[in-house]
Amino acid sequence: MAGWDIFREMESLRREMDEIFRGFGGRTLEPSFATVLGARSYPRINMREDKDNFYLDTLIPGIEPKDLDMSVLKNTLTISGERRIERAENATWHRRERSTGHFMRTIDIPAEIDPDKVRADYQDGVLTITMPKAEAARPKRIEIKAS
Amino acid sequence: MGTKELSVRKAGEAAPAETDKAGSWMTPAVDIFESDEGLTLVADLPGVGKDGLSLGIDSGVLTVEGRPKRAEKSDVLWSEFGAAGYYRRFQLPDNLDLEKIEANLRNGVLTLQVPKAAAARPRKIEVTVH
Repeated sequence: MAGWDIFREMESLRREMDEIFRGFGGRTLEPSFATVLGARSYPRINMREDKDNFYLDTLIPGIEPKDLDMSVLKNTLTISGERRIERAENATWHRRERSTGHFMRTIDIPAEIDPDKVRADYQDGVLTITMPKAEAARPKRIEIKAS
Repeated sequence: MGTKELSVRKAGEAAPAETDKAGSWMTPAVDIFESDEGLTLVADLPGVGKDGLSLGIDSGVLTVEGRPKRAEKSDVLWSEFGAAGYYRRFQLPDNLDLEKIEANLRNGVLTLQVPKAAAARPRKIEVTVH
């Protein structure tokens, strides 16, 4: 069984790889390599916007959409759910990093949204929520007339 | 989303040339466990579809690289994960049958099953008493 310890050696190699990427093109990346491990809040989110919508990309791999619950109250969005992982009982474990169990996250949307038109799509483990901005929160173009 | 079969690159075939290393890379969380039949590796790769996944084995080192699809043009307000992708390497033990790896990607979760080489499987030896 001693052969399995090589996994640990590879970990140090991974840190070396991290260093290589950090030096790439003289660009300084985030101080700590953005690792999915040890994330403070689950799930991780990215928020984007364009003229009409806010978009929330949420990393929730390996979940059935029916185990997800989403609600909007004013401009607060709550995502909750449970990730279930079936784990073999009679196995020897070498790594067990994937998180399992209940999660909940509340996100404040920076402007008023239209709660009736919020849409969510789940693909490849990413939940993308599209939230149309309320009419009042959209930028308006004001025509300037030259007299 | 149905089950997808993936092909695994064999030794000697290098991963495609890196042209875009900007942005931050993420280390995917993995589960690795072993049974009498083989080794199973499960990796969380949210955002990665079949086209963005590249698996390679070279000299017993397994490389998992995943590139998520690019988001449509929009302004980023808040970011907790990088857009570049996932990268992680593992040294595989040498008692595995690397020709028979099965890879499966579903809902952003990669499952790799590597059977043990026949010689490495435990065998029950009957003892007959004369």
